[in-house]
Amino acid sequence: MRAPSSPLLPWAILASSGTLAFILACLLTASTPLPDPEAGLTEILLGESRQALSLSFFNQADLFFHKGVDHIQARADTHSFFQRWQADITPEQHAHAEGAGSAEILPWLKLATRADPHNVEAFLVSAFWAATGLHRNDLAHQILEEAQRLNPGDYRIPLEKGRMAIRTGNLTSAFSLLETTLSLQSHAPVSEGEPDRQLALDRAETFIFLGFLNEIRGAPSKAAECFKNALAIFPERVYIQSRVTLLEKGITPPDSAHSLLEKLTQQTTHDACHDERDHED
Amino acid sequence: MAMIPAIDIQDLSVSFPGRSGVVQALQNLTLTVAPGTVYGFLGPNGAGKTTTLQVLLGFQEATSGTARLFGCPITQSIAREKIGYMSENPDTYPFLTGRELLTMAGRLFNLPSSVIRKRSTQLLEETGLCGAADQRIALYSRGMRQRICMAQALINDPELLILDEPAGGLDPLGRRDIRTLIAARKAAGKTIFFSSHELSEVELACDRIAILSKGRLIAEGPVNALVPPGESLERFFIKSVTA
Amino acid sequence: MKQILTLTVVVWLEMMRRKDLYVLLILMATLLAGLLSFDIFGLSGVAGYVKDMGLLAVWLLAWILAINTSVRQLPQEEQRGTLFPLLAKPVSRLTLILGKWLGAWSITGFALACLYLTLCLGVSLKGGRFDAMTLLQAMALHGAALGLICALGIALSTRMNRDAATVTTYVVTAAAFILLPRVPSLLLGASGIMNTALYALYYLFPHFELFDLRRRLVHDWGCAPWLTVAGILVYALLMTMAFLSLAWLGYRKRRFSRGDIL
Repeated sequence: MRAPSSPLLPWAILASSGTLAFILACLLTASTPLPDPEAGLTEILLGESRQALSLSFFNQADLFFHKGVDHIQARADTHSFFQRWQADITPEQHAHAEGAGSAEILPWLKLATRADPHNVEAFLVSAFWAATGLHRNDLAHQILEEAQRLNPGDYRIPLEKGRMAIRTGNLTSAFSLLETTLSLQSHAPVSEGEPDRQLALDRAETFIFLGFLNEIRGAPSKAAECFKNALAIFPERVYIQSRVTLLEKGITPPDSAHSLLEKLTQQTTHDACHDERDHED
Repeated sequence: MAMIPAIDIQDLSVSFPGRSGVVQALQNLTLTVAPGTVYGFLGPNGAGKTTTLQVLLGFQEATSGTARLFGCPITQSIAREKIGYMSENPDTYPFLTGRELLTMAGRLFNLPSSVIRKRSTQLLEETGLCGAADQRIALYSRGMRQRICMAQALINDPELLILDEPAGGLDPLGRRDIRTLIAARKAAGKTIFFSSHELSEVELACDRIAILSKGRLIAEGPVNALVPPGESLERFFIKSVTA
Repeated sequence: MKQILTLTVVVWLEMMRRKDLYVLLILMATLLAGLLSFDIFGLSGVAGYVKDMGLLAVWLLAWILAINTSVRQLPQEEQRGTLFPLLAKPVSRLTLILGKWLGAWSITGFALACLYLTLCLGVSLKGGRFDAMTLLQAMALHGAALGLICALGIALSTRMNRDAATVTTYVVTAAAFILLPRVPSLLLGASGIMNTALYALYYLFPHFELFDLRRRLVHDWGCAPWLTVAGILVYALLMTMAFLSLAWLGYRKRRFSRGDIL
């Protein structure tokens, strides 16, 4: 015969569970760092996972840029009608959103920046497409201003502003922006281990822009100095070497600084890093 | 020409695996119900009454033996065209109205719409549910649900009415209503086969009874032939199952 | 056929009176309102993100409705006790299964049409539009996918209890949608028994990705080849019939006992 259980037993279990939970909560709260008082709602709710959310929105923008076509993946041929049908159903031709169609990527980029205000890449790409795709320099400027407000120490923002200023012909403004870029680059955090290649590329690019701007201003010696600073980072750039030689000899290089600047500022990070073969069979 | 029995059960056995071996729910049950009779199916709890009804209605298969309804094997769904069934619990669709339930039941019997409409109205009157016909069944009382379940069992004007504890849980007024319905069907020459624990009701209404105990048929026949004079059915029942 | 349609009507009446559909439409409208209120730098006519997120919501909501509706049908009849008066009529178990499937599918299909209509309205408010023929194809394929899901839900509900069937259907359909398209990539590195297992999964499980025309709709790629669409619809029909057959095989000899329920 089973001994009758005490009617107080469930209450005892409840009380001890509650006490244990309370103690655990106190211990955890004591060791949890206090949230940043200036943190936005996304940061408070999502914590570090907002970066993953931001990245996913950024990837969605890339997908929209490619009109829904994924980067190709290696796969086996199963000789099945499933694969053939899927090839018919899912678009696979390589295409880019163009002109006004490029506006469709902006919502995703805006969501990426909302999710993570420190996702500077998303701000930069937004500004680029607003300026070149939609021909809305005012909008691009607005985006970069917001980016700078949220990320004051990031050199990439004045660099992009400088590119924009060059594209719009505002060379004086471009000059001061690129000088600001240089000083921010000097203070950019240095990562341990391998040197930051992107930082090196951007610094070289900044020197090159300043070099061309100095040429346009009629200061060939300063231009040559800027180009030499670029060569210090990437010594193998033969074209820059030859341009420096010409400038030091007092010879005007055949390719005008204006045309080269125009060509350089039409490129984007996407073009620099993008491999068209990713979308080709 | 020999009349086709309403229910013809021959050597029906049902067994299924239980916790401690095979459970023999029914053993070689043989009984016949002639058309036009009111047949009471009695037994203590666990005797096998519900199992018998479940086999007759196709809820489960017999292990051996046969059963026919009006000559048609119970394995065929058309065997159930002439029957109406009301279960012990008035389970039905709470989201339907009474009228919708009868319409649904009629359509499942492939009855024409005009026939369904006419019979629905008649049955709603007969069961006293005219006023609640367009109310959701969820709002019905237990008695009302029992009556609407009875109505849906009668929608096809069945030749054989199978009732499982028809008066279970009802107040005296409710039991009276059920008795009236059964009497009306009997007068119309229908066959009624019902299981019940209300032996006083059985004694009044039934022509023949069968008593089951532990899966076996222990008594079968007309009520007045089985029960000795001066003895009640209840006393006879208790003596039979405890013997 | 009349019996099947009668059972279908009962499913409809239940669903309409349960108000599940209204909840879904309200959810969809709320989501769309949120999306429409999102200011994209003051630009008008930018509707791609509304299409994309809206279609994702349509797929998720329809998926949830299809599974919850279909898995519930047969177990609910048993639990409620209404299965007994139903089977006591000249209604075969196959008729019951077909009636319940048709009811679940048709109501889900109706909900799907309402969700698409709501989405079209939302997209048009943002200055966008869907290509009509592509939308028609997308809805047809989506509807066929839901029929398949309903059949799977009903099949599983004949073999396990309602909660287990619900979870299993969710897991199987989600896994099939996400993993099966990746099987050809996985096959590259697989060998032996893993290779066989992957092939078995690839051919046995339903390929829901074939029914997904969202990318074509969102990015204005136009209609898919009609022959391919027809082939996929036939595939859906065959898979649906297979699952319904499994349901019937699981149900036809099943023993129902009121004592098990009470």
